[in-house]
Amino acid sequence: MAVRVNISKPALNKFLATSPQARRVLEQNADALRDSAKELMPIGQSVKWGPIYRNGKAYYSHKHDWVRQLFRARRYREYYRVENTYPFYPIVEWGSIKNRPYAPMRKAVRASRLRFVPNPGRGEL
Amino acid sequence: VTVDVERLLSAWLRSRSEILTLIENRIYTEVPRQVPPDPFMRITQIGGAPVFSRPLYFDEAVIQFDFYGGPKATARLLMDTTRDLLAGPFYGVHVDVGTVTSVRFAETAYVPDDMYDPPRPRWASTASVFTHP
Repeated sequence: MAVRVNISKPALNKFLATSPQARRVLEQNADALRDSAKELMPIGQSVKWGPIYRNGKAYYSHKHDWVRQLFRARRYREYYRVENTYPFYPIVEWGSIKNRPYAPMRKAVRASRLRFVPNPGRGEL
Repeated sequence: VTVDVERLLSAWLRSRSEILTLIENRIYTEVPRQVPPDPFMRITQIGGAPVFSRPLYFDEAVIQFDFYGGPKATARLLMDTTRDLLAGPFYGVHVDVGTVTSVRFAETAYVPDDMYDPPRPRWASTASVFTHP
């Protein structure tokens, strides 16, 4: 028989705000997710810093190690956020017409048996 | 031998009249250098693992579908049509390829392609396809 559990968000927020142990667990999970995403981030041929020159033009790759280092987990209200601060990170995650999607964050979420919800709070899903 | 789900999906979707009326046969696993006109669809395997290693029989492929539409509404219509087909007639035996036992849909997001100015409308959807030979 299926059991549905309705989580009261205000009550959960209050619990997280008043329970350092619960927050610590969240923090550890966020750190684990961040580290996992770092591991899954692609590093291609361009491990070196700086631009790659082709035909006299400078190209910057998303597959540099410094992009990988921009993953971070930080506290946001009662929760923790795992994010990458690179402005073009969505191209690495979702791809574009000329770039395949590498999806490191979604792979990390899936490996942790969690569920990825894009744009939480906007009510799209 | 496990099933090449990218290939199976692109071939199967090309054979469906519902898709052909929307995008003809513009379904790609790699977008050609000469970028096709909108709307079109790209199918990319982004992950997956066998359900069991021994016997190596059931396989899971995590697929990202990119639905590029002229207007945003066309991309959405294309996504809804494709998901509707995958939830129904896609199940079962595909002769000489393999058997689809389940399709589990995951996240869906509107992620315009910012590499173009103005950004090209795109809906992205992820699904796990479970197969066996």
